[in-house]
Amino acid sequence: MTPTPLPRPLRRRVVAWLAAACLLPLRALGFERNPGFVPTSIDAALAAAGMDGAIESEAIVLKAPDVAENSAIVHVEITSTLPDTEFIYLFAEKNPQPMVAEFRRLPGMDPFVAVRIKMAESAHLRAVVRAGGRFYYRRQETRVTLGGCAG
Amino acid sequence: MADPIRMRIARDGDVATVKVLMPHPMETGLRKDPITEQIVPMHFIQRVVATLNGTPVLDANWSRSVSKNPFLEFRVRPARAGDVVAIAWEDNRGESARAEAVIK
Repeated sequence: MTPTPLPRPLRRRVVAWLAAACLLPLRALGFERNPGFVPTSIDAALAAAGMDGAIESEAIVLKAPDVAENSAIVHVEITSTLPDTEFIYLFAEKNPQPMVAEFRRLPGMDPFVAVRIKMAESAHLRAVVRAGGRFYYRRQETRVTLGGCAG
Repeated sequence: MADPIRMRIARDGDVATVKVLMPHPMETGLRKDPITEQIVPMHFIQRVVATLNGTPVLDANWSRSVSKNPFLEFRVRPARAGDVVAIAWEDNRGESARAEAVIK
């Protein structure tokens, strides 16, 4: 005996639901990749990400070593005390593609992230914060002593 | 299959600090295999989502410049004992991994 097939519209809904469930949670927010990841210079990356008008702000704390012994593992911490911090971005200005990371902060997370990155050569690191719809930034120079890692 | 994600959570009052290690090669596509002298293709985590009790709290996009075996630290608030933090990543080849831990 063959099982009774589900009525068509219902079956379609079940299939659609299963397909959607498979993609959760990574695509649940419908979040597009920032165009700032593509350019190969810091100025072009900032322009592509719409951050060229960012204001320098000491309300952002960018903690990274002045001298990194291993350019493949540079520990970076970013804290924002700007009200309504929505996004935190990190750039290594001389990497082949300077935009390293974009962190979208949602309710339930403090405006802080730490991450380890690769640096192609000694360069300024730049933290950019979007708060209340506006961009702010803070820079700090990190020298790498061992040769670049082409990263 | 890659090694599992490692997560360590320390709660202090209503704040929990989450430290995550995600085993992954994070290949830039610029490195040559020293033996074959062939370029190792780009292979990197490009999306990381953290949830607290199933609700996203952090949604990250990464480039190939994040270090091999990525380390990520963030803080969730308010955090209570018994809350569940989950991490999921997806890389540029469509591979993915997920892990969760309970806040003590």
